[in-house]
Amino acid sequence: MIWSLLPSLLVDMVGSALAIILAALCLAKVRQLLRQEPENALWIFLFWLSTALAVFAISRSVGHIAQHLLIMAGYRHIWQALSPFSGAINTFTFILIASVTVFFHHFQRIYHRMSANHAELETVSRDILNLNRDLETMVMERTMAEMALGVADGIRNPICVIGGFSRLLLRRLSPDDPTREWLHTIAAETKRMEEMVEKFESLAQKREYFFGQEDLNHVVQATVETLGPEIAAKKIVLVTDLWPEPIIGKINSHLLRVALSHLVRNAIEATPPGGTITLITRREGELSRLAVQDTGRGMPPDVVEQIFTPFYTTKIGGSGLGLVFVRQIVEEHRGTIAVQSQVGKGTTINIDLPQRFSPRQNSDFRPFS
Amino acid sequence: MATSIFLMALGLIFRPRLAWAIQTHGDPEGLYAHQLGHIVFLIAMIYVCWQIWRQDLKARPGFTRLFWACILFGAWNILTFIGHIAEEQLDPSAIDRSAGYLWRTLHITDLNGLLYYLAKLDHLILVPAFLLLYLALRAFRRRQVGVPGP
Repeated sequence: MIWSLLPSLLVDMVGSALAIILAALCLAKVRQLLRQEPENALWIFLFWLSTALAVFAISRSVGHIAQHLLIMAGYRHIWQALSPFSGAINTFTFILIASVTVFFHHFQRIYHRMSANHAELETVSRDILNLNRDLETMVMERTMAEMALGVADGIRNPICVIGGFSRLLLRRLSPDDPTREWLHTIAAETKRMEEMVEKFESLAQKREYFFGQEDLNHVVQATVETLGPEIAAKKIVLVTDLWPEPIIGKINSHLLRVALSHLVRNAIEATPPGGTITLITRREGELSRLAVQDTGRGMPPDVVEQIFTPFYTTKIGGSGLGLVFVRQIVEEHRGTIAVQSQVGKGTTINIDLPQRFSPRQNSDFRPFS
Repeated sequence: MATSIFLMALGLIFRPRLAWAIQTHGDPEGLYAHQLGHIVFLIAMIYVCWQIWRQDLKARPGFTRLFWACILFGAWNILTFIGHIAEEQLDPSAIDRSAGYLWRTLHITDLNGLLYYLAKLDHLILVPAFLLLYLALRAFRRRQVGVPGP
């Protein structure tokens, strides 16, 4: 079977020319894509792939066309000298294409991880914003309540005295006394002020909106339900030592759960596999105690001193705000938080919450003092 | 152990021998490097196809064309890889150059001759591969600027 090589020569010549044109068009198109979105991972990959293919197309096609023309013109020896360069460049572009692809593979993994981290960061930011909004509302609520209590405490007694004496005087004065009308006015205005005091007191009752009578044990159980899988995944032993009876107190279970979740997550991070996290609830007189213990790496005293300082963090990428929020939540419950830690032995965080509310002792609002 | 290493190092320093550190690269090495280049190019194209398949991107505009472009680039690598082997094994007398370069003929007597001939037509795969790549990029660009695609 004898076949002419002319068709292959024609296909080679025309194909080489077309390959150069198409490679140039690809490069131009991908440059447009990249110019509009310079940080798009796919466009970056396609740009480098198209660049390598364009170098390959030019090197190979020019080589093939030159080969045919030089040989036909009787310059075979020139082609023999050029041929190794053309082949070497082609080989180089193959390696370049493979390298670009391998690089893209790793680049894509990092890109996906960054995207996932970004999404997580957005969720965390949203949670912090919501939490902050709740706390701001609570602070406003507390301020109003304290104002109301302060005003009520400060005004009630003088009003009672004025009202009582004005009514007494009214009873003693003769019916035709000209000052009687003035006393009537004093008594009526005093009555109005007493009503205002009552309204202020009713503002204090609004705290019910944020704080309800709830069981602290339920808060712990709900948190354990949520974080149990995380603890189990790290092969940490979880012990829940709950007070056998309900510990009912005026609490905001949502915020307390947020605070407890944060503390437990910190404990999970600090505790190695095989370690133990213990959650304890106790009733001690008028106080409810909630404790989170771990057998993790612990903290040196200088770190313990600063953990409630805003933006102080020992974690890479930490916001340094988590424990600040935890403390604020505890303080909004009129509670206290204390940390005990020993390096290499673990950390215990004790939260004491009053079972009943009373005005905060160190309130900034002192209208009549 | 440390003493032996130290003595060996002393020996190498004071009684050196020829190490033949620079080796001459013989004739077939260029071809082997080129063939290895074809293999890694092929693997790269398979990887891109696999990514498009795995991430279920074929339904999105442009990705089907990119997928087929990579398939054709991969096929081109296989064809040319075989073509280089066939060329190496081809009997030089199988090509008759007596009528001039344009009118050369190939005497095909076996599969090797046929493969050599087919490999010489590799642009029939390479050009469509480039064309599909261009069409894929054009579809991406149209989507980017908001022009409805086909």
